[in-house]
Amino acid sequence: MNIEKRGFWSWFLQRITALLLVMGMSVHFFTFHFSPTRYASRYYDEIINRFCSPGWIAFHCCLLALVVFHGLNGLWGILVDFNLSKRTNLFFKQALWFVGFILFGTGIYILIWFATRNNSGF
Amino acid sequence: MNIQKLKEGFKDLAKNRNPGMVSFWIHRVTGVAVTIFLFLHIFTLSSVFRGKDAYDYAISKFDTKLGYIFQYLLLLAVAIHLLNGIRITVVDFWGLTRIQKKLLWISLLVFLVIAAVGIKTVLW
Repeated sequence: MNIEKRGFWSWFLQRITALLLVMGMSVHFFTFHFSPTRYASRYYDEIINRFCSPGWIAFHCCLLALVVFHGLNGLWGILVDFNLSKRTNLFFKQALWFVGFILFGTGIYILIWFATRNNSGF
Repeated sequence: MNIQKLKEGFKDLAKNRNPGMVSFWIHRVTGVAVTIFLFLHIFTLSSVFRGKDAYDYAISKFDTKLGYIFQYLLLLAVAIHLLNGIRITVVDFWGLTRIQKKLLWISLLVFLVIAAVGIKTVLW
């Protein structure tokens, strides 16, 4: 991706979030796709019992923030490569920020929903 | 949207069939695909707002044969994007352009191992 077109921070944060996501996604994939309890772990009761501790909620909040930023910033990088006009660029940038906040907000709301249903306390 | 630019990109891919060009396109296509999946993921999880049964029903859709195949394809997309991403970051941060081809083959080898292990753990 072109660092001159995107700006330093977009390029730099894409790399940093990528490195953090390598660790985060590995934990996520092992827990929900590879571990022996992977099938049960996706269902409501198991999530309430196992994945509503402050540690897991904090982990998923961070993972959500990283993945939303990395995904939408990546789309922004692809769009910039199309050499769009300044006005169109600005439109897409604002649209992606808006979509990002909606996506992140919904994800956080889901996590809060789960966390507040855990009787052992959040 | 500059469609001409996209067409030129595909022409480039057809003309320059070198591993670097292929990995560039695979990285972009898998990146877009995984980002689209993120929306589906949040949408599926949001069924929790309609209660436990609605949530479990939505999740059970992924516990079918088609669901397992979908998850396996997702694993492949994430794995190849992740491994190629590590290669790009390592080359960018440590200036290892000279060995970037070697790193590409290493990441491809690791990808094949993940794909093989995934057949057993995700599909079965």
